[in-house]
Amino acid sequence: MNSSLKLLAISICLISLVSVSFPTINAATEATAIQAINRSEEALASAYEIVLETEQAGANVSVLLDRLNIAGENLAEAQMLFRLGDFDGAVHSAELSSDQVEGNFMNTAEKLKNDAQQIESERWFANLITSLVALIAVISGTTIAWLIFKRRHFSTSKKDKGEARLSEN
Amino acid sequence: MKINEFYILFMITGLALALIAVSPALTLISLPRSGERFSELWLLGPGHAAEGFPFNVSVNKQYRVYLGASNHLDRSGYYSIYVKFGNQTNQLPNSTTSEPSPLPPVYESRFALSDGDTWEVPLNFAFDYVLLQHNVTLLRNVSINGLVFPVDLISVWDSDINGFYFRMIFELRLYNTDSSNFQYHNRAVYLMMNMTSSQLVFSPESTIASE
Repeated sequence: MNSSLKLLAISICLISLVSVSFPTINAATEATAIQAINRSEEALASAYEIVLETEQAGANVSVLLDRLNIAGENLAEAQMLFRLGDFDGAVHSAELSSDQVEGNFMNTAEKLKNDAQQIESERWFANLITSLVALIAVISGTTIAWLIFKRRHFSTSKKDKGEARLSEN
Repeated sequence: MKINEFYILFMITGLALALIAVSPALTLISLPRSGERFSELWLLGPGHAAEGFPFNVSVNKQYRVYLGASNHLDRSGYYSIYVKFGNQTNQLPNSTTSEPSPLPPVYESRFALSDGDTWEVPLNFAFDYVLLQHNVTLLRNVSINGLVFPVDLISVWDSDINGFYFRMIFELRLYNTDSSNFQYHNRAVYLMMNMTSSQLVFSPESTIASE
């Protein structure tokens, strides 16, 4: 009797230990699916705003748009699976969507933005210098040409007047 | 020619050359783009042309259309397309008030497009419908690109155009960063389909609607 009681107590202890040690695998609930979808919605909205900022800086955002497209497809699938009551599928698709626009998405955008800003400032500087040099050259060239022309014009007219006086005499 | 006239000629030539000289700097001044900014939404038939759209549709037969959109907003756009189903009495999107149809979305697509880019996907769909009474058809399920959606929508026999009509509505929505949500962009197209077919599954007491 005593030994069977001991066995029962040990069994209960073991069962409770096992149940605590190994987490149970539960199917996703409606609430977890909503949470995953909302998180993904927010991640995509932020990603889109980052794309717009990067684009305004003059960067080529096609790499970011490709990832946003994949994320969008996954999120649309998550929404549809949720409406169909497939919460596991919805969570999975929503997580796939979030993965696309989280992590190094921001870093990629930042790098693209910095590269674009650098290229833009280099272009600015080069165009400004080119214009300035060309303008100085034009002003100097025109002034020199005018001075040469004026000198020649007056010397020619003096010569003409001299010849005229000579012929009169 | 007098010397003053030569002077004017030199000045004009000098100014023209100066303008050419500063042209690289002028390219740095970006002028705002003029013209209308808009998005396009279109639907093409199975032959990838604006013809041959499914009209008389049978039960569980596969149909295909191509759904496309393009961006002319002068910036990238984040879009969503809702596919909705309604009968001949359900409200369509209102182009005057820019209101979308109040029907719930069944299928959804999301995509991002840069300015000038286009997006297009094939939509394969099939219908599962049944004649409930002699003048009522029930559209039970719609399968779109492999996903089956319960619709449970009825259509009453339309004696004016002889048929049970359902509408497949496509609405384009654009993400608005100010309001942080998708907004209907007053771009919608719809397909009207007649679900009066010889393949209808009749309930024992039902009769053919046209009889």
